[in-house]
Amino acid sequence: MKLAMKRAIKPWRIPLLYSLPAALAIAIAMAVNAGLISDLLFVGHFEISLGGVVLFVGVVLTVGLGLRGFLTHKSREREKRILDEVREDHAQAQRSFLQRLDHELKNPLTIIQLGLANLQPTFTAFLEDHQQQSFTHITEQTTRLQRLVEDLRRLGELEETTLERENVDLSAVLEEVVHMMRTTASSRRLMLNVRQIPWKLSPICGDRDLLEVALFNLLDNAIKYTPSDGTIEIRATEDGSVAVIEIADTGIGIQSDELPHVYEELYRGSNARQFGGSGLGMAMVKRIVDLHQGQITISSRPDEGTVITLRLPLASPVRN
Amino acid sequence: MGDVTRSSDKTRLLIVDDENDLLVELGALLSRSGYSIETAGDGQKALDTCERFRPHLIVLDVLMPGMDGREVVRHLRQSGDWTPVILLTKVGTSAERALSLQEGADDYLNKPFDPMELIARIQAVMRRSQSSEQNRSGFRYLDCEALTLDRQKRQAWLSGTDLKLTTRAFGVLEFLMLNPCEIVSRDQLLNEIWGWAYAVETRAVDVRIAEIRKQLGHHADWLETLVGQGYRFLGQVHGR
Repeated sequence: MKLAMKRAIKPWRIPLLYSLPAALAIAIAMAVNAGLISDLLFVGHFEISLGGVVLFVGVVLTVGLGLRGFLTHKSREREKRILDEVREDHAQAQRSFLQRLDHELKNPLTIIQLGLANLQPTFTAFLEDHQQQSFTHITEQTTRLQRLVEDLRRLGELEETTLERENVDLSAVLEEVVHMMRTTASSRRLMLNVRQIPWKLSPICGDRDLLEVALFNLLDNAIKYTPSDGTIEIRATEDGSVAVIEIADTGIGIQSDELPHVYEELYRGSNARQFGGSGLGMAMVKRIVDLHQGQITISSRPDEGTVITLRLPLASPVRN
Repeated sequence: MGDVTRSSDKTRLLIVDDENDLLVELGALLSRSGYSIETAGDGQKALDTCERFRPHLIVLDVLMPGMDGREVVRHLRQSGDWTPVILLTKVGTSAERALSLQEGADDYLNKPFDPMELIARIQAVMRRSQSSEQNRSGFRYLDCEALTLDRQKRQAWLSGTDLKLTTRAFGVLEFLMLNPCEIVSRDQLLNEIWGWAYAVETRAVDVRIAEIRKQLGHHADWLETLVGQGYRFLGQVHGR
């Protein structure tokens, strides 16, 4: 991480920086030539040409610094590559682990479900009230586990999926998702505002269904984590060649130290554990946004709310 | 629940899985549902039991040590045995599902599954096989009058003209043609074709249906919409 924190020299400045000694040497040599400075220096018994020395030192410095700059640049590139590889290996290891977990959970879960189905009609009739309650808890938690396994499978599929690209009217997808969620929002007395002014978004080239899943997940989260009588605002605008979608809520927010983890599989924020969910939704959203070469950012304040911003490249004008 | 009440006439099911507890629980459930049950713990035993027990349907796990479920299906089909097979898969990706059907399975179900869903699938597959309908899942080409689907190349032609269908639209058309005259719900299509798209609701399927209809032109009425129920392919489909 320290490496990333270092202030990097912009690449276009490197040749400028390292040609400075040569430029200085040439300037001095020109000054000597013009007679502004005396060319001959006497060091003990030796007579030395100042212009020659300056030019020599300048050339050596330029070559030396240039070489150093080149090697530093290469070394940074290599370190960045290694860091990327380590991150990718880590992500891959995590994905493999989740796939194995998913596999290992499937058979026991199937057997538990079959066992519960076998017990249901005969066994439960003889249970006391509190035993019946325990049985209901087991059934509910089994269903919860099944959902988790299904979500893991879906996430696994997303890792392997290829986009079915077409020109997508993001405004229409957004309207559809909002339409789907309006009843849930109303039942929680949440204000759901959509702003698409002054004009509707231009199409983006992407997978309509995946984008719908991503927007659905984000809006679902906003509704889930916003207390009753709160407000959710969806803003859709364009910024140059990208579509910008913001989903802002007056919900419970995310602690700042937890923000970097929200895209991790199975991660639940400390204040989010009381709410239902598998902890895989944001990982799915991130994956979908990445597949579209987009960006997702989150800013949040605990107990005040959260703003999630999606930036997705617009389709090229030719496609429109 | 079962088709017949007398023991000797009971529908015979063979369940194959390498997990003994699963065999016990699933066997008990299906037995209680009126089926006559035999179980096998691996692929080779499954083939041996098939010869002796002559099941009406096989519920077969895919991932087993030694001969896996798909290999068992291949053996059966190569020997001319067309006993309906429902595969229980653990992988569950779209590719895995498509492969299962192409190799001759009649249906598949992802583990973990709702037990009632398995019983519904068994009934549906039995209904199809009893109505002496052709099992189309093993065929590469599906034909309906001027329409041809090449399931392997994922291409479709209408009167020789290449149809421009997206992958998912092709998947929807293929699934409907594999189950002609049957009502297929949107949820079922989402589960079969999209797989991951639990959140995507009605519009995703509707968009693909509209795409297929547009491509089918004046044959668009082959796709029937049943409000509140789903879709149905009305043409006569033949496999080859």
